[in-house]
Amino acid sequence: MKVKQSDYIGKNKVLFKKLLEKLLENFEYASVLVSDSVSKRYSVSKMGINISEDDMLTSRGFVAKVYDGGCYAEYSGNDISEEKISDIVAKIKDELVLFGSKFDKSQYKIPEDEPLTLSKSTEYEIDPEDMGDEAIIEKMTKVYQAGMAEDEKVLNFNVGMNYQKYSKLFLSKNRDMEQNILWSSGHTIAMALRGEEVKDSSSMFSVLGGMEVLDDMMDSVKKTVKVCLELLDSEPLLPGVYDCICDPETTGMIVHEAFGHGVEMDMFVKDRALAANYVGQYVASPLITMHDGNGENEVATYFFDDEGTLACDTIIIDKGILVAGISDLQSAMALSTKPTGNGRRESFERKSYTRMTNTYFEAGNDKLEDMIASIENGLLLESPSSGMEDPKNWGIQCMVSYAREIKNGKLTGKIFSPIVLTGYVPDLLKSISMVSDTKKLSGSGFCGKGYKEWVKVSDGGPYIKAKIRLG
Amino acid sequence: MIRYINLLKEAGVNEFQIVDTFEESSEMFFVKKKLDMRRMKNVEKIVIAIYKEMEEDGKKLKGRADVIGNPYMSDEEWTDKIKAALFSAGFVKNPTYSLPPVNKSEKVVVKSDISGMKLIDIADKFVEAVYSQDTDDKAFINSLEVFAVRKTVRVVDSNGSDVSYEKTSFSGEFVAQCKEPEDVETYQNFEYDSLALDEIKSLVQRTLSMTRDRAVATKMPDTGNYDVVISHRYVTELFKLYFMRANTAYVFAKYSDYKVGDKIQGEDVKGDLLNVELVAEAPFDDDAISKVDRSFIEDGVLKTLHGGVRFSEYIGAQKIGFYTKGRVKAGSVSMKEMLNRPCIHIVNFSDFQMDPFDGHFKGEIRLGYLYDGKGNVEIVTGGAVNGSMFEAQKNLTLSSETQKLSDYEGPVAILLKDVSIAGK
Repeated sequence: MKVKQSDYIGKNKVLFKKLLEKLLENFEYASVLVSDSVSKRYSVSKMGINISEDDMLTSRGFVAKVYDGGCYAEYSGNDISEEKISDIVAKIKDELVLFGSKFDKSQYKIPEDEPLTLSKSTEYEIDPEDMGDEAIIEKMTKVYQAGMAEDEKVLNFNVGMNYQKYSKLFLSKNRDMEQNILWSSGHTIAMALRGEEVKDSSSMFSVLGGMEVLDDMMDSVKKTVKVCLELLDSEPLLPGVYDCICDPETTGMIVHEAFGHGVEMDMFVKDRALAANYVGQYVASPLITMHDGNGENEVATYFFDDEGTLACDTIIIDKGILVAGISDLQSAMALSTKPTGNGRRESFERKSYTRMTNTYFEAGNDKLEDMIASIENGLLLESPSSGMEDPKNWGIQCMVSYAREIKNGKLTGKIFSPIVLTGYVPDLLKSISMVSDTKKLSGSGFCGKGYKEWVKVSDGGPYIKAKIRLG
Repeated sequence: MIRYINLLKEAGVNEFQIVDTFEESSEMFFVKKKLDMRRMKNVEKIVIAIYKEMEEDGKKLKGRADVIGNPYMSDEEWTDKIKAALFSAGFVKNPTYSLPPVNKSEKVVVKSDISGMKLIDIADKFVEAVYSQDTDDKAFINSLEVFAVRKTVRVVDSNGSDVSYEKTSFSGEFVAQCKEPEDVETYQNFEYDSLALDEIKSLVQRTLSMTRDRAVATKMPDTGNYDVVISHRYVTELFKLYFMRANTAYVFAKYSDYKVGDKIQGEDVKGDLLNVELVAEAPFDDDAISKVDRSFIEDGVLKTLHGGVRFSEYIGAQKIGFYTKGRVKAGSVSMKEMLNRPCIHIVNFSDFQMDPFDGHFKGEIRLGYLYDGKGNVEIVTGGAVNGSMFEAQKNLTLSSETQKLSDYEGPVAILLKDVSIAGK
């Protein structure tokens, strides 16, 4: 089944076209992006049941972008009508473009704006609205009850789900593009007490689609609880450099946080990314090829970005060599490169930046069991919890929930927690010596630019073996 | 508001709460010293919480479902949303609780020296203040984003509460860069609710100075345990442990065992005892509860819990609202005295996080100063801190110097003993 166009966009398209026409009477270039998004969040846990529309992801409005004297300006609003169009145009002409007039402005060209018309939708199996809140909560409640019944030490078993169904319309002089997308994601989190500490473990689920994602949750219950209980016996790790195997989720965090942010090319424009100096050079082991974009169907798949550029599959690292970054429209113009369709906004209320989408390493040829067997004294890193980018200096700050000890090629059962990954990104990537033959992407979280501008992303890859400094 | 109230009543909703937020902003984005983008925003948003009373097996239950929209949606669309939410609330079978007592108030304008200013003028003044300090060719402002925001919030509920306020604030972030000898940068974010031009100038100066130091830093600290000094905005992060653990939702879920009267730093405290006030960062919370400054922790003893009405009622706590800002009493030791011992003062992390569940604070070190206690200091970079606040709180030292941030007022630095650092 394909996601349907929003009624709001269908009914009001003519108004937004009129707004665009009026803007084009006053400015050399103008575009209008309209967004209509509904997102619902569900949770079942010891703290009760929750059903609510998601405050960050439920929104409806537009952003009008104009080109004025070499520079761009944007107006975000959600009040549009026949009568309001002249007020919006006046606000942009008489206030917005005069704002900041005492400062020197960057100089850009006008976008190419090649003619393009499209209307596309992603597919789903089960529409959350058709399934209904009663059935969704009923299924989640069963998962919750199974989690709580698994062991008496379980303090809470949190089952969470959310979905976003959004439609976007992009209009410029030569472009008329519509897309309709649905993604869903969920998690189960087991919690248990160790003295004052609450130890937790989680399993994540995501799909470019609908409530079919719920089917995997029940299968995760035993593993989620088992890991949580293992964490009750975890020990702090002696800091040092270890031979490590990263699970696909930890690989994803390294791909995304340690390297991906550094190839967002708005950072190149600002001279904030060390990667700009390494294009064409080895930055990773020859075993590594890295992608971003719509090469995989995951939660960050779309057909065009928030600036009307078509999405694509960008190869960032090709067999260890950095070949390309990803860019939004303005960054591509500043750098005289082709935009890659990575201009994304948190919502119509926010500016567009270069942002990742589905970012991953390709799979290799090794078997996981051979990778473990190859380690004399090392660790298997699992369950990433957070990470922070450092594109300027390629410092690593990533955290994982726990590490499993490997001795003489075997997992010993000993577990360490929590774990901080640190060090220098190319050192880690160049040390990768084995890559598993399967990969997995996960899109349960959101990515910020610094500490704001949250967008849905997925990341992942295969198991990788590397030398990593841990704390 | 009358429109929504009528639609809710027509749909058969007896209990509800409506939060109407109008937000306007003026925003500027700079690359180096050039304005790269300017933006304005005028957006109104309505959030309606719909409640449904139920009874099952003799137990009184209350469901809630929230819907989000805007005033420009038709009555038909709002009615569809409301009816769907009322139906959904029937599956949210939580133990019953009551909405807060009636609270009525005229609109409160949070007064400050920016409350009457045009947003574009506020943004201009802050930008000029930032760039007035950008006078060094070696260490300079790489990029700057500023957001002048005026928000008007009105909360109405079915009990008859009707409160509203207007608040103007200014926030943003900048990156300082120094290209030689190493090309490095420092990220800073800020938020003020007054025309804090001196504060932002001082922040820019300190950040540029830090960035110059990072440009010459090459040494990573040795792996081991250190007395660690954390300062400026990172101090706020440490106090999240207490704010989260004193939240009634955490207590209800047993993530926290805090009770009023508890010695939250433990019995055998060798260092400073904490004295913290909860600070009302807005006149009302989203439950229409009036917020006032109140005692939170006195000499290490917890004086109150805080949080939303539902979990506060479940655990029998007073419904005082949810707080995020604290005012911490300063210590008696100056930073100079604090650093006059073998310790590492970490002034910049990639990211510094406190996990309120397990009490661990963690972060990768971007810049630190290693003091040997004999007057010698080395600049260090790299490595990571990983400590437990449950241990560290028993022997911490607060500085006598203070700072004022949007979510924290209090000591500018805190000394934590015997913290693990993964270095070389």
